[in-house]
Amino acid sequence: MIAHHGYRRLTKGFADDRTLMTMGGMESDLEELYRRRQGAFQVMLASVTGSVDSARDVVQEAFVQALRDQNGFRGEGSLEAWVWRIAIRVAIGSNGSRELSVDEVPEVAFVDQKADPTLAAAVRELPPQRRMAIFLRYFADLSYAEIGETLGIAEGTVAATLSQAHRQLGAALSTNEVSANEVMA
Amino acid sequence: MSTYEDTLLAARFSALAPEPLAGDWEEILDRAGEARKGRRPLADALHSRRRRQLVVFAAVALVVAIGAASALAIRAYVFHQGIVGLAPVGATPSTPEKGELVLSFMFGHTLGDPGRFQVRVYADGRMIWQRVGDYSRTDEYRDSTGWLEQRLTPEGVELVKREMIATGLVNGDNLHLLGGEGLYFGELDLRDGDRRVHVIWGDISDPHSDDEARAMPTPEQASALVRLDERLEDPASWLPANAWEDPEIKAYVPSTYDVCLEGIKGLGLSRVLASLPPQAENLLRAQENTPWTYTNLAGTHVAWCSQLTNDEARALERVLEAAGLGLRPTKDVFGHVVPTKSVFGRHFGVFDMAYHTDPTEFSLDFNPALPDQG
Repeated sequence: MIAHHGYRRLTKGFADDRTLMTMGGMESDLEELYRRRQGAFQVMLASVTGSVDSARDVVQEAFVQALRDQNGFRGEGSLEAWVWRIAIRVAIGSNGSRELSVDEVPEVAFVDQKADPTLAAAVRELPPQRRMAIFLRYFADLSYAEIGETLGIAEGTVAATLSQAHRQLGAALSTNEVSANEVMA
Repeated sequence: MSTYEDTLLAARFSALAPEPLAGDWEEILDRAGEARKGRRPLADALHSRRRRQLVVFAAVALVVAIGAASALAIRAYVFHQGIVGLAPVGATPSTPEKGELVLSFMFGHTLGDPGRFQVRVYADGRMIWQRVGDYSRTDEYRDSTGWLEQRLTPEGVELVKREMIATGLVNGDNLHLLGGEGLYFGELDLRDGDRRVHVIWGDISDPHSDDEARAMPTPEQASALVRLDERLEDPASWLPANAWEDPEIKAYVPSTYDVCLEGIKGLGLSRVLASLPPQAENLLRAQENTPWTYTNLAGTHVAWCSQLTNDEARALERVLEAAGLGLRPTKDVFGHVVPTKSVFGRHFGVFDMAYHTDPTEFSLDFNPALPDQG
């Protein structure tokens, strides 16, 4: 995660060039973020868009928007969470500037069913908001705090949502995997 | 959910994850329509400047980290007095064998097990506690203290009890809180005569807790729990001298071990016992073998547990070692080597039976019994 306190320190001493300097530094950080994390963005967003191809398009568009709208980043949180918010809005076709809501997550979710059919089935049964939190946790590898920042919700709400998702997944996996093993009894 | 289960779920999800396509930053720059040519040198200059700042920051962070690690290493050395493996011959078990639990407290310092602190205080004055390190990254669980024991006077027990009551969380009914406000997970339990109050918070399993009905902790509740943890993790800093019968930190030596045997899911006890060396099978077949059910992300499982004296436990250990089982490297499902001998007791067989399917495999754990257990 990129720390952004440096930007605020830098801009204070260079008021005349503030915009330019901030944009210059931010561009390099966006590039750094893209090179480091674009794969994770694609993997997570594929679960929303339905394919890796379309997820790649979403990631490209999200970073284009981030570059164009650098002033939209107020430096109050992490740059990555800000880009995640843009990317998820692009993925779900929401262009508004309002806060992202987990309720906006569509029912469709893409996961490779062949790799782990039991887990894939269990994930499909999750309500949208729990599924979104799970995807951000395990596909995007975000911490609870980062998920909260991305979705604009409290860390405690993230913890509660993930806790409920874990229990639901556990119950579903238990039911399916127990039945698969009962023949051994 | 433990770190282990969190990691396991992450591994299962990574298997579901599609392979990402190659990215193209230049395409993004072109589409963004940035007039980059005149600005690039400045951006590069800033980038370099920022890199230098980062190097300085990293150097400072390294010094701080080394300092912290050194402090941790010293603390680990000083407090690493818990028994590794089974209690050795001649070790005097803590007395009395059984004890009435007055209060217990567990506080998670991370999303998972690393850093977890637990303490249990008994009516006879025993204060038994442990701090868990990040055992997934150490080969001998060096960062964990194991169970340690100190002795309080009746006044000391009362003072610790009052400290818990002072949180304001145990004056009414049981309390089931969500995480947040700096809390990861934990629980406390206070027994006062016939009254028993149980408080849980964060991502922790409790069969009596309705997830939907859990409340967010208020800032006051969260800070009260954090403060209680600070006090209970360092009682020497605030308990008066007359609160201690014996402040010396010693290894807690159990009188018995809970020995739990598990086969693959759905396999009956007889078939699991048959997978052991004959002498071990006979020894355990003579025990009560009470079923113990637990649930994790891989489902609900049954292990059979017996209570063995220290001599019996050591005899069983010798049989298993003679069969070469103690020498077999044990790995978890991620390939991490798991020590067969640690401050958590002794382990034979595969580490995480719940995730195996070979009916000839088993998992056998020796866990030290605490005074209110067994």
